[in-house]
Amino acid sequence: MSKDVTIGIDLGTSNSCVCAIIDGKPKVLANRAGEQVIASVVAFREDGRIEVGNGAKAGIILDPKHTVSSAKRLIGRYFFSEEVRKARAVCRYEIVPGENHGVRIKVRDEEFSLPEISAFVLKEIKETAEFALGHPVSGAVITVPAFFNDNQRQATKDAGRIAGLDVLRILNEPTAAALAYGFGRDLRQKVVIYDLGGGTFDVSILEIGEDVFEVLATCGDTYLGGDDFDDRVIDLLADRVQAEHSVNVRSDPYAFAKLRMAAEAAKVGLSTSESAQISIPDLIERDGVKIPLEYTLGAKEFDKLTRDLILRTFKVCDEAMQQAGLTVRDLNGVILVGGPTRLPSIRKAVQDYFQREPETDINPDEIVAIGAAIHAASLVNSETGSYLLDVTPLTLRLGIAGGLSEPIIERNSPVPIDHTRVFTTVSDNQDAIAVRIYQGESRQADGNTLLGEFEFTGFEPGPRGQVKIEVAFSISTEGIVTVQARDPKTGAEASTAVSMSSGLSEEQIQEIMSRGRTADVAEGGARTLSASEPAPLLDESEDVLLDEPSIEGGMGDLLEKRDETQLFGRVEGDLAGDNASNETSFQIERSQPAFLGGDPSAEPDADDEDDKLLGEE
Amino acid sequence: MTGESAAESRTMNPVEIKALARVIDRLDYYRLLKLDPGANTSQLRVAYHDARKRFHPDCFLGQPEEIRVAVDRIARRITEGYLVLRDRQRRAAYDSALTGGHLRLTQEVEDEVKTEVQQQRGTTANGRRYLTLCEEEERRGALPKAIAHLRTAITFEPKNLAFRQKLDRLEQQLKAAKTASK
Repeated sequence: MSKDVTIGIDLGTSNSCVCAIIDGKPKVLANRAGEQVIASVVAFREDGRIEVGNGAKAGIILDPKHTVSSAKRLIGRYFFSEEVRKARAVCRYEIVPGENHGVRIKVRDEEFSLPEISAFVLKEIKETAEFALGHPVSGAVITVPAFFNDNQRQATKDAGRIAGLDVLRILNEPTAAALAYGFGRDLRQKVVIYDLGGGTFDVSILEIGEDVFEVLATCGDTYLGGDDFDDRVIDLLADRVQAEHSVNVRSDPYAFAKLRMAAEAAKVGLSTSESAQISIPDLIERDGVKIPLEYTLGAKEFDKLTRDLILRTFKVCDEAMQQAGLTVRDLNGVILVGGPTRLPSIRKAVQDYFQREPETDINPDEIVAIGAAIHAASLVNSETGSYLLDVTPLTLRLGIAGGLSEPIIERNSPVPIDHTRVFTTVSDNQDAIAVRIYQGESRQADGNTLLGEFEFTGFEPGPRGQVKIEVAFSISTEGIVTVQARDPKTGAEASTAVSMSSGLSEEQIQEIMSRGRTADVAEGGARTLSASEPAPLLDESEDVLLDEPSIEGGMGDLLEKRDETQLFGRVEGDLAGDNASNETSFQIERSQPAFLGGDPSAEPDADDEDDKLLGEE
Repeated sequence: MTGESAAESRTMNPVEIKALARVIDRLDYYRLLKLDPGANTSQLRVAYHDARKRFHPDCFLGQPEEIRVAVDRIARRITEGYLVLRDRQRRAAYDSALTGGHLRLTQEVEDEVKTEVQQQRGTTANGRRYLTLCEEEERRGALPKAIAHLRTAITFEPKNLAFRQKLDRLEQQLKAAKTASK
């Protein structure tokens, strides 16, 4: 093995962190400026330079139109989603629709997909690591909120690739945190990870048994994070300015950004003291007169402002405990993750809820990156054996007639997992079926997130109800979904790593990567998404996406198929070429020979050789 | 990446892994998890963890794609088996499906078993009600009353085989009891 160190990256909404295992110990890596926490902010300068990290952060105030922050809130989302709507109201940078309902950020006449924006941050992180380690880095484990759906996971993985990283694994943040907490300690504990990040809230319950880290349940709210706490303070201050000076701060982007920064600083201040002083001498100008803002925010007032947000997190905790089938008395540890959990009001509330003091010697900003690095090291290194058994956070569903959806794989099922269902056609001589895949907890198809859709053709048409189509759904250890349709009669197959309709196609990623090398020394304007992109299918797809999903034929060609699709599928092999007697050595005793080969659902392509294999010793 | 991973070297070589993946559809869940059919929940958990460790996709990242595909296939089936066996009802359904030659509890098999169970409990409201009354009397040892209720249940579900079998059984019991008392 080369000296190549694999890094663990916590790619956060507000801040990111990178860690590597050096001489068997996790070390959080610092950039040239000595900073271990890197702001997930990308600033597009007028001269074409792109600045990333803490240096770009000032741009949120000084140049909000060209400074992209909180991209993680948008990654893997559809343009019409609630989160994007909300971001468009708040963010000063331009959020525009991309093809297939995707989201693009338009800065200085260039459009960027969200994976590209996150790739800028990841590139900065990669450089930080290379600077700290003194040699090139390529392999990485990147963490995502446990509650991220397939779209968000795929998009994050794409971001890593665009940044030139070999993304070995997408790992759930709470699982990473648990690994960092329990690694090498030979624990036998049930723990809860309470992870309140900048833009997401996750709670996971794990059972740690020596080297096995098993997630029992995970629940979350991707619309709840530290930013929402800031918003409460912003609202308070903006209303105050409005009342005292009749000036609307919200209508002035520059002033509003200043207010946001001050609110965040006040929140952070309240983590360590009883009150925070907010002082902006020149918040906004009216008739040439500068209006200052002075306010002392007390801890009690802040608690009152944000109490309902904290209570919302406990609703999610209730759900997770119920899904895990545990009560708080069963837990042996409470681990807090994410900057906002430094707030005394949150610590206190968490302690009350779980009737246990949270672990105190854990840095909530670093623990996820540390866990990611531990896992990254164990992926490339054979000695370190920790086994992560994760679950899928959301129910995988299939769109059926009448705008409804049917659950296929229930949430909190362990992964990897698959499930096969047999479906039939709804009209005579139907020669195509549309398969729509969703994630979420709603029976109404629209109430869930559409992961993707594909059309299956090439099966033998027949009278309605007579044609049988097998649809196999699969979720990988990383939480990535693959779906395969198959005609058991002809053996015809169509499979796809569920291509997220708002994501990037393989070709697009390749294209971005090929021109991406020059991004750091960008001459502005040269990287506009090229005209070679397929024309947006917005109008047509709108109908198909939003109207009555059903297993019916005649869907338009909306598919963006990925190349890396064959995750799944028949394991074919030339048995005759292998040593058959060796192969049987694992065979468990032949206690039930009657069943062998007698299963009507057995793979049709399994041949006689295999029977022999099972039969002989 | 140096050679074999820990998990792999502990158990199987690549050829064996590929072969296992190929025949995985013809192993029942107990064999897959190396578990005794009478095993309890904690034994199941131990077996599940052990199986997951042996075939964890993370341990095979550096391996050729065909091995990774094979491991993934095995791992997915292990999860499936665990999910079925850890749920008491589904495990019962699986055990009865297994006797019928089904090695996997697919949706279709599960539905079939469910229908069978439903049949046993009655398919009409009145059928179910009189079956419950019959069972209550049976528990009290009042066989003639139990039989009367069951006959009523059968008038609502004349084709219910489970009801008729139960009636036969109860009548024989009654007969045996009478003979004994004589």
